[in-house]
Amino acid sequence: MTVEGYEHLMRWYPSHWRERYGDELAALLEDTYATTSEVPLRQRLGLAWSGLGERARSAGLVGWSQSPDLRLRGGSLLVLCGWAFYVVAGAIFAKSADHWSSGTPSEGHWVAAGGFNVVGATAGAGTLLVLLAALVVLPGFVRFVRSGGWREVSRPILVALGSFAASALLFVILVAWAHSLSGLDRNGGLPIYGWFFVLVSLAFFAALGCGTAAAIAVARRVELSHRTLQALGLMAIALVGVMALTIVSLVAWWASEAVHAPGFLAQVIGNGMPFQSSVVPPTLLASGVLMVFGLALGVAGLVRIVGSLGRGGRAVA
Amino acid sequence: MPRRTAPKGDLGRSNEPPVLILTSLAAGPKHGYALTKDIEAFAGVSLGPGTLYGAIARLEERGLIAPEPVGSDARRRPYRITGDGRVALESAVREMRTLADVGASRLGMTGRVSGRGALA
Repeated sequence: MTVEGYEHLMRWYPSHWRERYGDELAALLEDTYATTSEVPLRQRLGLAWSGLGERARSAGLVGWSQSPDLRLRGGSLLVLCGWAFYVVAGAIFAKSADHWSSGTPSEGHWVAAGGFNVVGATAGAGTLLVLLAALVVLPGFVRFVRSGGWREVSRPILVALGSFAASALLFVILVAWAHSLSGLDRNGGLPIYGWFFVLVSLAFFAALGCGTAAAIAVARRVELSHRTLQALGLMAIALVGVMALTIVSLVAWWASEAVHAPGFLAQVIGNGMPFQSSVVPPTLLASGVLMVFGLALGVAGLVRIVGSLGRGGRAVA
Repeated sequence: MPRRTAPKGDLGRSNEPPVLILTSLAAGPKHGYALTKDIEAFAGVSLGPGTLYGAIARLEERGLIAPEPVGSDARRRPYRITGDGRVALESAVREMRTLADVGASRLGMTGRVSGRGALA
């Protein structure tokens, strides 16, 4: 327990850390500043930064003094977070590249087709890897729930399920509505449909975020053997490979289209708002940026996994 | 892939919190506030509370410092340097001394190199 008044300054720290050091940190603040209101903004920000850092450490996301098992787990979770960005980026890319084939002349078709098909194949491979990882974790999750752990993870899981149900319902309404509209109305002729499409997309992205948060909450708590964590680490490494291949394929498709079909790129959704470019449409740019960010997270996870594979479960002092 | 795990004795640079904390504790056990005041006095460095307790947690995790039994005030727990901590600090001090000697020799400085303020 920490001293009342200073407690709110420590809310950024994980509970086990507050249990151990909270009272001492509160006493230090009390000795340094007469009241909580005298704690300067710089120190408040410092406490927030340190607290978030401790949370990241306790999840195995940063630092190298934890056990290899915790680092393997943290590295795998970083890769999963990176993949979530890829799913959003992939959805944006799929919509942006809709009907690209018909707008591309035959001389540049094969490179673009190759890139596009590989993006599709990697999306499938990545999804399979994530599902396989979920299957590997499932027995541990069942044991965790049977031993009374449901209460700890019920909230993020129910929020994720609720948000996926809501986005699925919105998607069904969108599809039903789309069937009653002409092609012109579906492609910008009817603004309210366009806005509803954006709403459904945002609901899906929010659901994906909630799903990833739930997966992290579960994966952090479930007891997993060293061998299982190694298997998850290897799957995560494969997933980073898939992510790298995806971005290379997307760039190949994009470059080919920029050379051979700039007219198609000029008509991609988003062009004209907030800027117009025949070869860098905003939606493709957003997709690319999200993929780069996702790949950066994946590589950060990969480094942790590779640095932890083959080591025992003990912490390195 | 290079091994990123720092060796147990690796404390970082001379002005980094682990070195400052161990140097302060080498003179005797201290609690958080006493540590910040002592470090301010001998190094002129003001460690924020988050930085100080982050470093204390890491040093305790590595077995370089240990909490003393609490007295009447459980909230002001003193820490002491351990045997491993002393070895790590000695190693850091040797490295700093080597660097200081090389610097002094290349600058043609003779006699003792004074501490704080010498370069100010």
